[in-house]
Amino acid sequence: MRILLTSSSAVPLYEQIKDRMREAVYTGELAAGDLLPSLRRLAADLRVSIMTVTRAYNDLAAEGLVTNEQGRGFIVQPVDPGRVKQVLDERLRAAANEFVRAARASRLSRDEAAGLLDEEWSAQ
Amino acid sequence: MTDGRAGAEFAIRATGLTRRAGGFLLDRVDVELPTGYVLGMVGANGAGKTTTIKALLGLVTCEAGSVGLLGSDVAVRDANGSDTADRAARKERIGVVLDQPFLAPRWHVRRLGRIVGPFYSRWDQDRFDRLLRRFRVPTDGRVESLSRGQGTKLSLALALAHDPDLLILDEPTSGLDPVSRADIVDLVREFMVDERHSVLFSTHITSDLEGLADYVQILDEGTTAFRGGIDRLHEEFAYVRGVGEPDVRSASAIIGLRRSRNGFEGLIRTDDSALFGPETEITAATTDDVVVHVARSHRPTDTEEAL
Repeated sequence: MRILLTSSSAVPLYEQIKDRMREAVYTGELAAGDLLPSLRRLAADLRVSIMTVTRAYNDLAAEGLVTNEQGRGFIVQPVDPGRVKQVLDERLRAAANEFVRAARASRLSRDEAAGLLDEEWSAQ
Repeated sequence: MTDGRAGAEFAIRATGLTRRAGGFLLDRVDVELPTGYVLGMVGANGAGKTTTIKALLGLVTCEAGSVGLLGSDVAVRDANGSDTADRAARKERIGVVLDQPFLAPRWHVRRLGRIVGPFYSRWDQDRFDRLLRRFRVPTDGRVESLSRGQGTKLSLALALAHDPDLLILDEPTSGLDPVSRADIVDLVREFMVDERHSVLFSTHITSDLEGLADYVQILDEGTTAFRGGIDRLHEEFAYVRGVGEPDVRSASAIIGLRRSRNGFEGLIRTDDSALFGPETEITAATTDDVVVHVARSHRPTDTEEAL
């Protein structure tokens, strides 16, 4: 699992970790029953304090996304498909919004923007 | 308390450490470190970091206070008595790197492990050799031929090779180049992957603690100026800048107030933010801000003289 943190971001590190884990669950990268990466291993790898990861994981547990099982770790819980769709839709809308804004900033016409989208669509 | 490896809730629990020596007073210092976490002890040179660490280890005598290490409470008076078997066993579980190298300078680096190892039941010669290779500490000379950084890395390799549960490091990064500092901090991170492990790390370079320390203790002139979770430190304090003169009420809320020709700045408690109007700018306080200003507020004469 790839996680990139930016220390210059206004978003606190533990929020960035939460966002990344949520995304992993909603995109199916982590399935129900999977373990989150070991809290201590993750802290060492990301060069953040143990408390930072603990806070992120505990918040995710409070949201019900994972449960903390003594001796095993944090286990991903089944997510409601409706909720997954809602989160993915929100993400798509945000990305579309960003795309349109960037296209306008580059003074692209609607057709040129659609052409760019086609290119990316066939490339991935 | 049993000597089992797991279970102790506190790696360090010391209360009221007090010691008067020469002109210096260590004044009722408490130290608390829950098992599984990193405590960063910061403060200027002479703030009492080394004395506190030596008091924890029983290397200096205290007039008052008690020390509990790895789940066992030992009154300071008893700690200065003879080693009981239990105390010796506990010492094995503590790895120490002191500010001043304790190693005999004439010893050969290569032979050190064979000399020191037999004193520890869990000594791991392979691990010691691996650490020296990883740190690129030359092993073909005497200890005295090592640079400061190499000496610290050698001490750290010795401390880690006996598989301790608690590491106590006094200024391990002081006087080192940035690469060596990063090496040492990374090694502490690796050590902390095991949940039974705990680290007390003193430094006057607060940036070494960012992303490493879970708890922070700020010492100033022999007393504790702040002690708690590092996130609490960031939540509790903010930094204010303003033009002109602060009014009397807000000025009294500023910790370590500093005036310049155009305005003023200083640390405030986040709860006092409301005392400051829109003409001031309030930003997050760094650990450095807190250390500097809390220390300054302890010495009111400094501010007066600065005028």
